[in-house]
Amino acid sequence: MEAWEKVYLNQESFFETVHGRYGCITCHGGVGDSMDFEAAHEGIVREPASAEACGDCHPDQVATDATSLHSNLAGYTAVLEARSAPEKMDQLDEMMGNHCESCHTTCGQCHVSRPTNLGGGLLAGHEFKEIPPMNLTCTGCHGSRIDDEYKGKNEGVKADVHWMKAGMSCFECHSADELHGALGEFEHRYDGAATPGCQDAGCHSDIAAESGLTYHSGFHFEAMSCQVCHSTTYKNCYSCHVAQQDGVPYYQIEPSVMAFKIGRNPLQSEDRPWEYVPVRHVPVDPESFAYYGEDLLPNFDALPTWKYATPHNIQRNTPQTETCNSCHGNSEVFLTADDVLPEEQEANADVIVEEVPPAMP
Amino acid sequence: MSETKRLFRVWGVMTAVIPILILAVLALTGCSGPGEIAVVEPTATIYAPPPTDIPAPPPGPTPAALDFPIAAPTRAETEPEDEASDATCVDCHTSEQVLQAMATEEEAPEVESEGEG
Repeated sequence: MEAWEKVYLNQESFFETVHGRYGCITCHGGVGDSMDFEAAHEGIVREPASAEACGDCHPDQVATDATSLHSNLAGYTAVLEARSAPEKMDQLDEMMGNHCESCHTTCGQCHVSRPTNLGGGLLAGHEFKEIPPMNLTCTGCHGSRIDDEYKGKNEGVKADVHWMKAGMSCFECHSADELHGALGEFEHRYDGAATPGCQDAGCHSDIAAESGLTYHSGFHFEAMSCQVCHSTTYKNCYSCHVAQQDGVPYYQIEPSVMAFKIGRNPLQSEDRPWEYVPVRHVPVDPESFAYYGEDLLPNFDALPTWKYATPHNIQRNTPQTETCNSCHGNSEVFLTADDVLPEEQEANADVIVEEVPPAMP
Repeated sequence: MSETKRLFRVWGVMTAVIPILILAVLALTGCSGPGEIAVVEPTATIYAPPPTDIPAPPPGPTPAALDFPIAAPTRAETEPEDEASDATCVDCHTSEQVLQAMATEEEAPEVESEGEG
Protein backbone atom coordinates (compact mmCIF):
# COMPACT_ATOMS: atom_id res chain seq x y z
CA MET A 1 0.00 0.00 0.00
CA GLU A 2 1.48 3.34 -1.08
CA ALA A 3 1.80 6.05 1.54
CA TRP A 4 -0.86 8.22 -0.07
CA GLU A 5 -3.30 5.32 -0.32
CA LYS A 6 -3.18 4.81 3.40
CA VAL A 7 -4.85 8.16 4.02
CA TYR A 8 -6.99 8.36 0.88
CA LEU A 9 -10.70 8.73 1.61
CA ASN A 10 -12.01 7.32 -1.64
CA GLN A 11 -15.59 7.08 -0.46
CA GLU A 12 -17.00 10.52 0.13
CA SER A 13 -20.22 8.89 1.29
CA PHE A 14 -18.37 8.41 4.55
CA PHE A 15 -19.08 12.03 5.40
CA GLU A 16 -22.81 11.29 5.41
CA THR A 17 -22.45 8.54 7.97
CA VAL A 18 -22.79 8.99 11.69
CA HIS A 19 -19.04 8.80 12.19
CA GLY A 20 -18.36 11.09 9.27
CA ARG A 21 -20.58 13.83 10.65
CA TYR A 22 -18.27 14.32 13.57
CA GLY A 23 -15.66 15.69 11.23
CA CYS A 24 -11.97 14.97 11.07
CA ILE A 25 -10.75 17.23 13.83
CA THR A 26 -13.05 15.87 16.51
CA CYS A 27 -11.10 12.63 16.63
CA HIS A 28 -7.81 13.41 14.91
CA GLY A 29 -7.08 16.95 15.98
CA GLY A 30 -5.01 19.08 13.63
CA VAL A 31 -5.83 22.49 12.18
CA GLY A 32 -8.72 22.48 9.75
CA ASP A 33 -8.45 25.83 8.03
CA SER A 34 -4.81 25.75 7.07
CA MET A 35 -3.56 25.07 3.57
CA ASP A 36 -0.03 24.51 4.83
CA PHE A 37 0.82 20.85 5.24
CA GLU A 38 2.84 21.23 8.41
CA ALA A 39 0.43 23.64 10.05
CA ALA A 40 -2.61 21.58 9.11
CA HIS A 41 -1.12 18.49 10.71
CA GLU A 42 0.05 20.12 13.90
CA GLY A 43 -1.10 18.01 16.82
CA ILE A 44 -2.57 15.37 14.55
CA VAL A 45 -3.50 12.09 16.22
CA ARG A 46 -3.04 9.22 13.82
CA GLU A 47 -4.63 6.61 16.06
CA PRO A 48 -7.26 8.16 18.33
CA ALA A 49 -7.36 6.46 21.71
CA SER A 50 -10.27 4.09 22.12
CA ALA A 51 -11.67 5.62 25.29
CA GLU A 52 -11.58 9.23 24.15
CA ALA A 53 -12.70 8.70 20.58
CA CYS A 54 -15.25 5.92 20.97
CA GLY A 55 -16.31 5.85 24.62
CA ASP A 56 -19.20 8.30 24.48
CA CYS A 57 -21.20 6.26 22.01
CA HIS A 58 -19.80 2.78 22.61
CA PRO A 59 -19.36 2.71 26.38
CA ASP A 60 -19.84 -1.05 26.75
CA GLN A 61 -17.12 -1.94 24.29
CA VAL A 62 -14.73 0.67 25.57
CA ALA A 63 -15.35 -0.33 29.19
CA THR A 64 -13.64 -3.66 28.57
CA ASP A 65 -10.86 -2.22 26.47
CA ALA A 66 -8.55 -2.10 29.45
CA THR A 67 -8.95 -5.85 30.00
CA SER A 68 -8.67 -6.80 26.35
CA LEU A 69 -5.45 -8.64 25.64
CA HIS A 70 -5.50 -6.97 22.23
CA SER A 71 -5.29 -3.64 23.98
CA ASN A 72 -3.26 -4.20 27.10
CA LEU A 73 -0.81 -6.83 25.81
CA ALA A 74 -0.99 -8.47 29.22
CA GLY A 75 0.11 -11.75 27.71
CA TYR A 76 3.51 -10.29 26.82
CA THR A 77 3.93 -8.70 30.21
CA ALA A 78 2.92 -11.88 32.03
CA VAL A 79 5.59 -14.05 30.42
CA LEU A 80 8.30 -11.40 30.74
CA GLU A 81 7.53 -10.96 34.42
CA ALA A 82 7.57 -14.72 34.92
CA ARG A 83 10.92 -15.24 33.20
CA SER A 84 12.55 -12.05 34.49
CA ALA A 85 12.85 -10.23 37.81
CA PRO A 86 11.41 -6.94 39.09
CA GLU A 87 14.77 -5.13 38.87
CA LYS A 88 15.02 -6.03 35.19
CA MET A 89 11.61 -4.79 34.16
CA ASP A 90 12.66 -1.23 33.35
CA GLN A 91 14.92 -2.50 30.60
CA LEU A 92 12.28 -4.89 29.39
CA ASP A 93 9.71 -2.11 29.39
CA GLU A 94 12.00 -0.16 27.06
CA MET A 95 12.27 -3.22 24.88
CA MET A 96 8.49 -3.60 24.93
CA GLY A 97 8.06 -0.01 23.86
CA ASN A 98 10.39 -0.41 20.91
CA HIS A 99 9.39 -3.81 19.67
CA CYS A 100 5.96 -4.77 21.00
CA GLU A 101 3.81 -1.69 21.49
CA SER A 102 2.95 -1.42 17.83
CA CYS A 103 1.09 -4.71 18.23
CA HIS A 104 -1.20 -2.95 20.68
CA THR A 105 -4.60 -2.53 19.08
CA THR A 106 -7.03 0.36 19.34
CA CYS A 107 -10.65 0.22 18.18
CA GLY A 108 -9.67 1.90 14.94
CA GLN A 109 -6.87 -0.50 14.14
CA CYS A 110 -9.41 -3.24 13.55
CA HIS A 111 -12.55 -1.34 12.54
CA VAL A 112 -11.09 1.47 10.40
CA SER A 113 -7.55 0.69 9.36
CA ARG A 114 -5.01 -2.06 9.24
CA PRO A 115 -3.01 -2.39 12.44
CA THR A 116 -0.12 0.03 12.85
CA ASN A 117 2.10 -3.01 13.17
CA LEU A 118 1.49 -3.57 9.46
CA GLY A 119 2.05 0.05 8.57
CA GLY A 120 -1.57 1.08 8.90
CA GLY A 121 -3.71 2.19 5.97
CA LEU A 122 -7.45 2.71 5.76
CA LEU A 123 -9.51 -0.42 5.13
CA ALA A 124 -12.11 1.22 2.89
CA GLY A 125 -11.94 4.99 2.73
CA HIS A 126 -12.36 5.43 6.48
CA GLU A 127 -15.58 3.43 6.49
CA PHE A 128 -16.11 1.87 9.90
CA LYS A 129 -16.33 -1.88 9.50
CA GLU A 130 -18.50 -3.47 12.16
CA ILE A 131 -16.94 -6.78 11.18
CA PRO A 132 -13.35 -6.13 10.13
CA PRO A 133 -11.96 -7.94 7.09
CA MET A 134 -10.03 -10.81 8.64
CA ASN A 135 -7.33 -10.85 5.97
CA LEU A 136 -6.38 -7.22 6.63
CA THR A 137 -6.75 -7.13 10.37
CA CYS A 138 -6.74 -10.49 12.20
CA THR A 139 -4.30 -12.34 10.04
CA GLY A 140 -2.30 -9.19 9.50
CA CYS A 141 -0.93 -9.81 12.98
CA HIS A 142 -1.72 -13.50 13.41
CA GLY A 143 -0.34 -14.36 10.04
CA SER A 144 2.78 -16.43 9.94
CA ARG A 145 1.34 -19.14 12.12
CA ILE A 146 -2.45 -18.91 12.27
CA ASP A 147 -3.13 -17.65 8.76
CA ASP A 148 -0.70 -20.07 7.17
CA GLU A 149 -2.19 -22.97 9.08
CA TYR A 150 -5.81 -22.01 8.60
CA LYS A 151 -5.58 -21.40 4.88
CA GLY A 152 -3.24 -24.24 4.07
CA LYS A 153 -0.26 -22.09 3.13
CA ASN A 154 2.24 -24.43 4.70
CA GLU A 155 3.58 -26.69 2.00
CA GLY A 156 2.05 -30.14 2.11
CA VAL A 157 -0.42 -29.32 4.86
CA LYS A 158 -4.10 -28.97 4.07
CA ALA A 159 -6.09 -25.96 5.15
CA ASP A 160 -8.28 -26.15 8.22
CA VAL A 161 -11.54 -27.93 7.46
CA HIS A 162 -13.49 -24.98 8.84
CA TRP A 163 -11.93 -22.80 6.16
CA MET A 164 -11.66 -25.30 3.35
CA LYS A 165 -15.22 -26.62 3.55
CA ALA A 166 -17.13 -23.87 5.28
CA GLY A 167 -15.09 -20.74 4.59
CA MET A 168 -15.56 -19.69 8.19
CA SER A 169 -14.06 -16.37 9.17
CA CYS A 170 -12.28 -15.78 12.46
CA PHE A 171 -15.39 -14.20 13.93
CA GLU A 172 -17.52 -17.27 13.55
CA CYS A 173 -15.62 -18.87 16.41
CA HIS A 174 -14.00 -15.90 18.13
CA SER A 175 -16.81 -13.72 19.45
CA ALA A 176 -16.78 -9.96 19.77
CA ASP A 177 -16.93 -10.40 23.53
CA GLU A 178 -13.80 -12.50 23.45
CA LEU A 179 -11.95 -10.11 21.17
CA HIS A 180 -13.09 -7.06 23.13
CA GLY A 181 -12.02 -8.53 26.47
CA ALA A 182 -15.59 -8.71 27.76
CA LEU A 183 -15.26 -12.25 29.10
CA GLY A 184 -13.13 -11.19 32.05
CA GLU A 185 -9.64 -10.16 32.92
CA PHE A 186 -7.03 -12.66 31.85
CA GLU A 187 -3.26 -12.80 32.06
CA HIS A 188 -2.83 -14.45 28.69
CA ARG A 189 -4.92 -15.93 25.92
CA TYR A 190 -5.09 -19.40 27.44
CA ASP A 191 -6.07 -18.10 30.85
CA GLY A 192 -9.57 -19.16 31.95
CA ALA A 193 -11.97 -21.37 30.08
CA ALA A 194 -11.14 -22.67 26.63
CA THR A 195 -12.76 -20.01 24.49
CA PRO A 196 -13.88 -20.73 21.91
CA GLY A 197 -14.59 -24.38 22.61
CA CYS A 198 -15.31 -26.92 19.92
CA GLN A 199 -18.75 -27.55 21.39
CA ASP A 200 -19.73 -23.90 21.78
CA ALA A 201 -22.75 -22.47 20.00
CA GLY A 202 -24.13 -25.90 19.24
CA CYS A 203 -21.12 -26.92 17.19
CA HIS A 204 -20.03 -30.53 17.64
CA SER A 205 -22.43 -30.81 20.55
CA ASP A 206 -22.97 -34.46 19.66
CA ILE A 207 -19.34 -35.21 20.36
CA ALA A 208 -19.10 -36.50 23.89
CA ALA A 209 -17.45 -39.25 25.85
CA GLU A 210 -20.57 -41.40 25.56
CA SER A 211 -21.37 -40.53 21.96
CA GLY A 212 -20.48 -43.98 20.73
CA LEU A 213 -17.68 -42.78 18.49
CA THR A 214 -14.86 -45.28 18.76
CA TYR A 215 -12.05 -43.01 19.85
CA HIS A 216 -14.20 -40.51 21.74
CA SER A 217 -14.94 -42.83 24.60
CA GLY A 218 -13.36 -42.93 27.98
CA PHE A 219 -9.70 -42.13 28.23
CA HIS A 220 -9.11 -40.51 24.85
CA PHE A 221 -11.84 -37.94 25.19
CA GLU A 222 -10.92 -36.91 28.69
CA ALA A 223 -7.16 -37.17 28.49
CA MET A 224 -6.39 -35.09 25.43
CA SER A 225 -7.55 -31.93 23.79
CA CYS A 226 -9.35 -32.17 20.46
CA GLN A 227 -6.26 -30.90 18.63
CA VAL A 228 -4.16 -33.85 19.73
CA CYS A 229 -5.99 -36.02 17.22
CA HIS A 230 -7.43 -33.42 14.83
CA SER A 231 -4.62 -30.99 14.13
CA THR A 232 -1.52 -31.64 12.14
CA THR A 233 1.93 -30.26 11.39
CA TYR A 234 2.48 -26.62 12.32
CA LYS A 235 5.23 -24.05 12.59
CA ASN A 236 7.61 -23.83 15.51
CA CYS A 237 9.84 -20.82 15.98
CA TYR A 238 13.26 -20.50 17.55
CA SER A 239 15.75 -17.96 18.72
CA CYS A 240 14.28 -14.53 18.15
CA HIS A 241 16.56 -11.63 19.01
CA VAL A 242 15.63 -7.98 19.04
CA ALA A 243 17.94 -4.98 18.74
CA GLN A 244 18.23 -1.51 17.23
CA GLN A 245 20.49 -0.01 14.64
CA ASP A 246 20.64 3.75 14.36
CA GLY A 247 17.48 3.91 16.43
CA VAL A 248 15.56 1.55 14.17
CA PRO A 249 14.19 -1.50 15.98
CA TYR A 250 14.51 -4.84 14.27
CA TYR A 251 14.42 -8.54 15.02
CA GLN A 252 16.14 -11.61 13.71
CA ILE A 253 14.69 -15.08 13.97
CA GLU A 254 15.70 -18.51 12.81
CA PRO A 255 13.65 -20.13 10.06
CA SER A 256 10.58 -21.86 11.43
CA VAL A 257 10.46 -25.64 11.73
CA MET A 258 7.41 -27.68 10.80
CA ALA A 259 6.57 -30.30 13.40
CA PHE A 260 3.74 -31.82 15.39
CA LYS A 261 4.43 -32.70 18.99
CA ILE A 262 2.16 -33.93 21.76
CA GLY A 263 3.32 -32.85 25.18
CA ARG A 264 2.03 -32.88 28.70
CA ASN A 265 -0.42 -30.07 29.32
CA PRO A 266 1.51 -27.17 30.89
CA LEU A 267 -1.77 -25.38 31.70
CA GLN A 268 -3.71 -28.30 33.16
CA SER A 269 -6.65 -26.96 35.16
CA GLU A 270 -10.33 -27.51 35.71
CA ASP A 271 -10.96 -25.49 32.55
CA ARG A 272 -8.33 -27.39 30.55
CA PRO A 273 -8.20 -30.78 32.22
CA TRP A 274 -6.47 -32.73 29.47
CA GLU A 275 -3.25 -34.52 30.22
CA TYR A 276 -1.97 -34.21 26.67
CA VAL A 277 -2.08 -31.25 24.27
CA PRO A 278 -0.14 -30.21 21.17
CA VAL A 279 2.84 -28.04 22.12
CA ARG A 280 4.52 -25.44 19.95
CA HIS A 281 8.02 -24.04 20.37
CA VAL A 282 7.88 -20.29 20.84
CA PRO A 283 10.66 -18.00 19.61
CA VAL A 284 12.00 -16.91 22.99
CA ASP A 285 15.64 -17.53 23.81
CA PRO A 286 17.61 -16.76 26.99
CA GLU A 287 19.41 -14.04 25.02
CA SER A 288 16.41 -12.69 23.11
CA PHE A 289 16.64 -9.27 24.77
CA ALA A 290 20.39 -9.11 25.40
CA TYR A 291 20.64 -5.85 23.43
CA TYR A 292 18.84 -4.12 26.31
CA GLY A 293 20.90 -5.56 29.13
CA GLU A 294 22.63 -8.58 30.54
CA ASP A 295 20.75 -11.51 31.94
CA LEU A 296 17.32 -9.96 31.52
CA LEU A 297 15.62 -13.34 31.80
CA PRO A 298 17.16 -14.78 34.98
CA ASN A 299 14.13 -17.03 35.50
CA PHE A 300 14.00 -18.26 31.95
CA ASP A 301 13.12 -21.76 33.12
CA ALA A 302 9.98 -20.59 34.90
CA LEU A 303 7.96 -21.27 31.77
CA PRO A 304 8.32 -23.89 29.07
CA THR A 305 9.49 -22.98 25.60
CA TRP A 306 7.23 -25.68 24.19
CA LYS A 307 3.90 -24.12 24.95
CA TYR A 308 0.27 -25.12 24.99
CA ALA A 309 -0.97 -24.77 21.42
CA THR A 310 -4.20 -24.79 19.49
CA PRO A 311 -3.09 -25.20 15.86
CA HIS A 312 -5.59 -23.85 13.35
CA ASN A 313 -5.31 -26.68 10.85
CA ILE A 314 -8.09 -28.95 12.08
CA GLN A 315 -8.82 -32.07 10.04
CA ARG A 316 -11.21 -34.90 10.62
CA ASN A 317 -8.57 -37.38 9.53
CA THR A 318 -4.95 -36.82 10.46
CA PRO A 319 -1.86 -39.02 10.69
CA GLN A 320 -2.78 -39.57 14.36
CA THR A 321 -6.20 -40.99 13.50
CA GLU A 322 -4.96 -43.55 10.99
CA THR A 323 -4.28 -46.37 13.41
CA CYS A 324 -3.89 -46.88 17.15
CA ASN A 325 -0.17 -47.18 16.72
CA SER A 326 0.07 -43.88 14.95
CA CYS A 327 0.45 -42.60 18.49
CA HIS A 328 0.85 -45.66 20.68
CA GLY A 329 4.47 -46.61 20.73
CA ASN A 330 5.36 -43.80 18.30
CA SER A 331 7.75 -41.44 20.02
CA GLU A 332 7.89 -39.26 16.90
CA VAL A 333 4.59 -37.57 17.71
CA PHE A 334 5.41 -36.98 21.36
CA LEU A 335 7.70 -34.32 22.77
CA THR A 336 10.47 -36.36 24.30
CA ALA A 337 13.72 -35.18 25.86
CA ASP A 338 15.47 -35.75 22.55
CA ASP A 339 13.37 -33.03 20.96
CA VAL A 340 14.37 -30.39 23.49
CA LEU A 341 17.53 -28.30 23.35
CA PRO A 342 19.92 -29.02 26.22
CA GLU A 343 19.62 -25.49 27.62
CA GLU A 344 15.82 -25.77 27.62
CA GLN A 345 15.47 -29.14 29.33
CA GLU A 346 14.75 -27.59 32.70
CA ALA A 347 12.18 -25.17 31.33
CA ASN A 348 10.30 -27.99 29.64
CA ALA A 349 10.58 -30.63 32.34
CA ASP A 350 6.83 -30.61 32.98
CA VAL A 351 5.96 -30.78 29.30
CA ILE A 352 8.26 -33.56 28.11
CA VAL A 353 6.59 -36.94 27.76
CA GLU A 354 8.86 -39.34 29.55
CA GLU A 355 6.94 -42.48 28.78
CA VAL A 356 5.24 -42.86 25.44
CA PRO A 357 2.01 -44.91 25.59
CA PRO A 358 2.89 -48.49 24.65
CA ALA A 359 2.14 -49.88 21.23
CA MET A 360 -1.12 -51.75 20.85
CA PRO A 361 -0.97 -55.44 19.93
CA MET B 1 -162.36 3.12 3.25
CA SER B 2 -160.80 2.77 6.50
CA GLU B 3 -158.54 5.26 8.08
CA THR B 4 -155.62 2.81 7.98
CA LYS B 5 -155.90 2.20 4.31
CA ARG B 6 -155.97 5.96 3.70
CA LEU B 7 -152.74 6.40 5.62
CA PHE B 8 -151.08 3.64 3.65
CA ARG B 9 -152.11 5.25 0.42
CA VAL B 10 -150.70 8.67 1.41
CA TRP B 11 -147.47 7.02 2.53
CA GLY B 12 -147.16 5.26 -0.77
CA VAL B 13 -147.74 8.41 -2.77
CA MET B 14 -145.15 10.30 -0.80
CA THR B 15 -142.65 7.51 -1.19
CA ALA B 16 -142.98 7.69 -4.92
CA VAL B 17 -143.10 11.47 -5.30
CA ILE B 18 -140.29 12.57 -3.03
CA PRO B 19 -137.41 10.79 -4.85
CA ILE B 20 -138.73 12.18 -8.14
CA LEU B 21 -138.63 15.67 -6.74
CA ILE B 22 -135.14 15.24 -5.45
CA LEU B 23 -133.94 14.05 -8.82
CA ALA B 24 -135.63 16.98 -10.49
CA VAL B 25 -133.94 19.49 -8.20
CA LEU B 26 -130.57 17.89 -8.83
CA ALA B 27 -131.10 18.00 -12.55
CA LEU B 28 -132.03 21.63 -12.50
CA THR B 29 -129.03 22.44 -10.31
CA GLY B 30 -126.62 20.86 -12.80
CA CYS B 31 -127.84 23.14 -15.54
CA SER B 32 -126.92 26.29 -13.66
CA GLY B 33 -123.68 28.29 -14.58
CA PRO B 34 -120.29 27.54 -13.06
CA GLY B 35 -119.50 29.18 -9.77
CA GLU B 36 -116.55 31.46 -9.33
CA ILE B 37 -113.26 29.52 -9.05
CA ALA B 38 -110.69 30.86 -6.64
CA VAL B 39 -107.28 31.22 -8.25
CA VAL B 40 -104.54 29.68 -6.20
CA GLU B 41 -101.03 30.79 -6.95
CA PRO B 42 -98.73 27.81 -7.75
CA THR B 43 -96.02 27.15 -5.30
CA ALA B 44 -92.61 25.87 -6.16
CA THR B 45 -92.22 22.16 -6.06
CA ILE B 46 -89.78 21.11 -3.43
CA TYR B 47 -87.20 18.86 -4.93
CA ALA B 48 -84.56 16.80 -3.14
CA PRO B 49 -81.14 18.47 -3.31
CA PRO B 50 -79.02 17.29 -6.20
CA PRO B 51 -76.43 14.59 -5.30
CA THR B 52 -72.99 15.83 -4.45
CA ASP B 53 -69.67 14.09 -5.15
CA ILE B 54 -68.56 11.65 -2.53
CA PRO B 55 -65.64 13.35 -0.82
CA ALA B 56 -62.29 11.71 -1.53
CA PRO B 57 -60.81 9.84 1.40
CA PRO B 58 -58.06 11.71 3.16
CA PRO B 59 -54.65 10.86 1.76
CA GLY B 60 -52.92 7.99 3.52
CA PRO B 61 -49.38 8.14 4.88
CA THR B 62 -46.83 8.44 2.15
CA PRO B 63 -43.86 6.12 2.62
CA ALA B 64 -40.70 8.10 2.69
CA ALA B 65 -37.39 6.67 1.58
CA LEU B 66 -35.04 6.20 4.47
CA ASP B 67 -31.36 5.71 4.46
CA PHE B 68 -30.36 2.59 6.26
CA PRO B 69 -28.87 2.15 8.67
CA ILE B 70 -30.82 4.93 10.28
CA ALA B 71 -28.55 7.42 11.82
CA ALA B 72 -28.17 7.01 15.53
CA PRO B 73 -29.14 10.02 17.56
CA THR B 74 -26.22 12.16 18.40
CA ARG B 75 -25.52 13.24 21.88
CA ALA B 76 -25.10 16.85 22.50
CA GLU B 77 -22.20 16.47 24.84
CA THR B 78 -20.16 14.69 22.22
CA GLU B 79 -20.51 17.44 19.66
CA PRO B 80 -17.49 19.67 19.46
CA GLU B 81 -18.05 22.91 21.26
CA ASP B 82 -16.25 24.92 18.64
CA GLU B 83 -16.86 23.14 15.42
CA ALA B 84 -13.68 23.60 13.53
CA SER B 85 -13.89 23.55 9.79
CA ASP B 86 -12.37 20.45 8.32
CA ALA B 87 -13.11 21.37 4.74
CA THR B 88 -9.43 21.58 3.99
CA CYS B 89 -8.84 18.12 5.45
CA VAL B 90 -11.57 16.71 3.24
CA ASP B 91 -10.41 18.53 0.15
CA CYS B 92 -6.95 17.03 0.37
CA HIS B 93 -7.78 13.57 1.65
CA THR B 94 -10.41 12.94 -1.02
CA SER B 95 -8.10 13.96 -3.86
CA GLU B 96 -5.93 11.24 -5.23
CA GLN B 97 -3.89 13.80 -7.17
CA VAL B 98 -3.23 16.01 -4.18
CA LEU B 99 -2.24 13.13 -1.96
CA GLN B 100 0.08 11.67 -4.57
CA ALA B 101 1.67 15.04 -5.13
CA MET B 102 2.25 15.64 -1.45
CA ALA B 103 3.30 12.12 -0.51
CA THR B 104 6.86 11.70 0.54
CA GLU B 105 8.75 8.47 0.39
CA GLU B 106 8.64 6.71 3.70
CA GLU B 107 12.07 6.48 5.17
CA ALA B 108 13.18 2.95 4.71
CA PRO B 109 14.81 1.63 7.84
CA GLU B 110 18.45 0.99 7.34
CA VAL B 111 18.13 -2.39 8.94
CA GLU B 112 15.34 -4.79 8.26
CA SER B 113 14.09 -7.57 10.39
CA GLU B 114 14.87 -11.09 9.29
CA GLY B 115 12.56 -14.04 9.46
CA GLU B 116 8.89 -14.55 10.01
CA GLY B 117 7.21 -12.17 12.38
